[in-house]
Amino acid sequence: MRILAKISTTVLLVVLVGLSVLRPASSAGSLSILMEPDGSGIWRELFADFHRKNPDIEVELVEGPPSTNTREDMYSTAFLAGSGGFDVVYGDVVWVPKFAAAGWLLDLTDRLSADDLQDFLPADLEGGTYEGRLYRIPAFTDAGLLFYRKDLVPEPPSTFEELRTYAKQYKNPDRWGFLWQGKQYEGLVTVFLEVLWGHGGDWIDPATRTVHLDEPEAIRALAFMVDLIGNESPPGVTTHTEEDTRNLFQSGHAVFLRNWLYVWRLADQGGAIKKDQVGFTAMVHEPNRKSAATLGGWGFAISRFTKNPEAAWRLVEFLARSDSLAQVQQRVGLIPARKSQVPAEFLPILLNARPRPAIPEYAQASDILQRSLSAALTGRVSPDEALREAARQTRLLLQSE
Amino acid sequence: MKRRGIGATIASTVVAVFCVVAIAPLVWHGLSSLKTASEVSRIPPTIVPESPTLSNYEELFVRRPFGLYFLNSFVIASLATLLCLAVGSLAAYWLIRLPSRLRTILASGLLVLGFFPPIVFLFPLYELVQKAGAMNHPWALILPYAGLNLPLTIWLLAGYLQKIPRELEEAASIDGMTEFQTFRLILLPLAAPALATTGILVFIFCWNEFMFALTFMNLDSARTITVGSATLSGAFAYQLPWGLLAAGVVITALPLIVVVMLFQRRIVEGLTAGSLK
Amino acid sequence: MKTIRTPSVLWALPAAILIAGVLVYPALRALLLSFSHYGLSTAFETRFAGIDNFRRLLGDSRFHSSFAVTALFVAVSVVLEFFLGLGLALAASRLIRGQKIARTLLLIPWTLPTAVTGVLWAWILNDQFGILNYVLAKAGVLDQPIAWLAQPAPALASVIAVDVWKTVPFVFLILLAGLQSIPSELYEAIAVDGGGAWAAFRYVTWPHLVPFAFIALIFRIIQAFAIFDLVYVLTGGGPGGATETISVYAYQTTMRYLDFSYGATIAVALVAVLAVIAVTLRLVLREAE
Repeated sequence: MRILAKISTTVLLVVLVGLSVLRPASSAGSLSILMEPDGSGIWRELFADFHRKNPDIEVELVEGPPSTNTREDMYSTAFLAGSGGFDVVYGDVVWVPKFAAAGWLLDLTDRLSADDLQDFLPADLEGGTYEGRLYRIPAFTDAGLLFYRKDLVPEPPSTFEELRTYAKQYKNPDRWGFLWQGKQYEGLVTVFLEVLWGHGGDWIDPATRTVHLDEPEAIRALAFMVDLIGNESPPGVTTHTEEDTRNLFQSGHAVFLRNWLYVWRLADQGGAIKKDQVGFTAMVHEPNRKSAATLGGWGFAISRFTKNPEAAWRLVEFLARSDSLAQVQQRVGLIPARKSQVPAEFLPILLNARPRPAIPEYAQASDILQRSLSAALTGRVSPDEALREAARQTRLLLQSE
Repeated sequence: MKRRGIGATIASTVVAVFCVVAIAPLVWHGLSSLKTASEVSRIPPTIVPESPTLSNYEELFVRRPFGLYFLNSFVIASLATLLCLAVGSLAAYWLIRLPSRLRTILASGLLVLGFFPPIVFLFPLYELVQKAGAMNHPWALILPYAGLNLPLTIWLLAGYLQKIPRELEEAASIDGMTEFQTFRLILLPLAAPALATTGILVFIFCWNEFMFALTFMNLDSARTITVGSATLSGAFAYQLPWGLLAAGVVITALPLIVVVMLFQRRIVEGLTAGSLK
Repeated sequence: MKTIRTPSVLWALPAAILIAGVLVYPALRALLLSFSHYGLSTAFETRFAGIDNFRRLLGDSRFHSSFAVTALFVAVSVVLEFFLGLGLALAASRLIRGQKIARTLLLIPWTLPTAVTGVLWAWILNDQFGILNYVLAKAGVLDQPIAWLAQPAPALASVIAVDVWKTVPFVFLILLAGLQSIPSELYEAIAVDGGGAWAAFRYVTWPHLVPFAFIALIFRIIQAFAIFDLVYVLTGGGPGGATETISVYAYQTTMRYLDFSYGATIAVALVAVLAVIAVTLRLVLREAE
């Protein structure tokens, strides 16, 4: 009996050690990519299609959590590790400076055909560029814009004043004037930037790394947003994200909504409002300024550590093709970043879209801004104090070498 | 001290209330894990599932390789525990035979190291693992886990070994046994209770560890079950699948509940061993 | 004949190697990093920084805020854990039957991974689907659901409450062991002298419990200061940094901002804080004796 016990413990030990040492070798043609949750299954279908056309390449789709920040961190930890991470990156436009500056991405500058270079939207190409080199092939584009109740508002506003006037005029106890995303997250930064740029202000100049947050235009912009709360916008705006505001708008509880392009496609789905009641226009601005839309969007990049760079490029090429993008557009409403595929009515807004500052420290600069904005929006500090503090910290950040 | 009457009733009630609070959340997750996706997000919530289903559990193993996570956790925790006990018992044996001043200094040093917040070690260890090309490799966690638990292990084992009478060792040496044979054949079996207790505590630590496992294992195939269930993604971009998460919680908790039921006494001994000195 | 053999140092060698590699070297490296600049902004080259990082720490409002959050968290949760653990231990020590099953059930929260505890409570505290709001509303306590994790004060309160739920068993068990080590003759002596329950507690129970209480407290305080898992999973440090503890800030700085040297600085600062606390507690204990 004791012999049996000894043998079985030894076997168990051997098995354990064996399992701990044996690692499945990644096959020559396998690629992994981390994506958002694939609720509709369209990505799985596309990857299966790709595999059929390229039987020597297998694609492992890793579904990450819904939060873009978390996926960014997952990519970061994988890249910091060097090898063994993800081969292809499905990345937000704001990740590019950090990933490229860290040397994690392959330079794809000369890979695109002239036709493609013409077809992709310029802002999206720029969004995938860092220090003059292209690292991310655009896939989907996005921009912030203003949706409004066409059946209530006679004509779309073009200035902040007009927006406010209409919002005040057409709101009622059951319907807020103006909804936007005020929760402390990246979405808040995109909203603020549109108001900021519309006032003629700026955040960070990426070329000179100068911070403009404490200038009068910026303070006016933030003061405008703070003033809305409790009047044209609900106090709960500081907990709202895209879906919260979209749901409220579509159930008839708002006159104006600032959100992303995807709302348009969903406007006729399951709400109290019909699509013909909804109109959209470029974001409002100061009378002598231009309208601004924050550029969003996703694209594909290739890890510098991949063991299969050519296979990775084939996948990226495949996914960025018009027909692949069209399939995703059909299923989930994302807008391809190709001029030939953008609905004509959105083209002016998209051609005007502005990217966020392309600095490697973007994540931290955004966090600083988010905190300050949130502090002002929740009334803890004045817009003036909030932006001065944000400017101070951002300058410290950009100088700390 | 025993008191009959109202004292005992109050005591029982208090304990009962705490017990309910302790397990109610888990019971709630157990119930919820058996509900369909639509029932689980119903407002107002139902208590007992209307049509209990195991679909959440099925989906858990399909959507995510929970079986693999479980295996990873088991391999890593077992090997780390065994390594820690082996290395720690040897060191404990040596420690208790040191002159007392040196022993106190080393023991205190160990204690201090054991109290360092893990975040201090994270990046330097990450660098080491990266340089060794060992990312996503089980030994990237096995070795750190063993090291992190050595202070506690040595402390607990030293305490126990010290109580074993030296005469037994002397008798063995008279019989012609070498020092190592004495250790292996006489002391270790006698120290079995302490080894078991320490082993269980270390195993639980390794199973539950999150920060290092999150950082060193980013490939799904290498993940541990704790990280796997804490980072379950959603099927929908903006709404979390609570039934699935509940199932994940239950699956991760079950082995530990079994361990607690089987080894409750040992765990308690281990936790209180230090204070009883 | 020698009664004590000093074994050769080879016995301790494997442990020494492991400890040196996993604990000592990383601690020293972290210390070294805190005096350097190393990260994304230095293009991953190491440069000497002197005390720059510490100066930055002093002016870093986010560090101050994480320190305040951590300190508040430690103070409130340790106090709550202690009193709840004590009450529970006193009650459990009087149980005639069912001690074993009570200890098993009560131990479960402590054995669960903290990260999973975060997931568990995230759902219970969910403002729309969570069972807590439902129960409170039905009991008439709330007329509107509270967004537990979306507002600063309720979020911190939630983190504290969940941590208390998880760690009361630990304090309870230590104090229970203490209670059970008190010889019953002492209680009989007090009873004979005519002392009631309070006298028994004050002159017998408490003095015996002090060393156990001390151990429980020091373990808890040091662990609580380092808290990471629960905050990371339950709130991510939000909303707005309201629950961001020092460890979470250090982790973000290192892994998200890729500012490795500053992340190490924050961690080193945490160790320094703990050292100060540990020394203070020891002095306090010496005074008390």
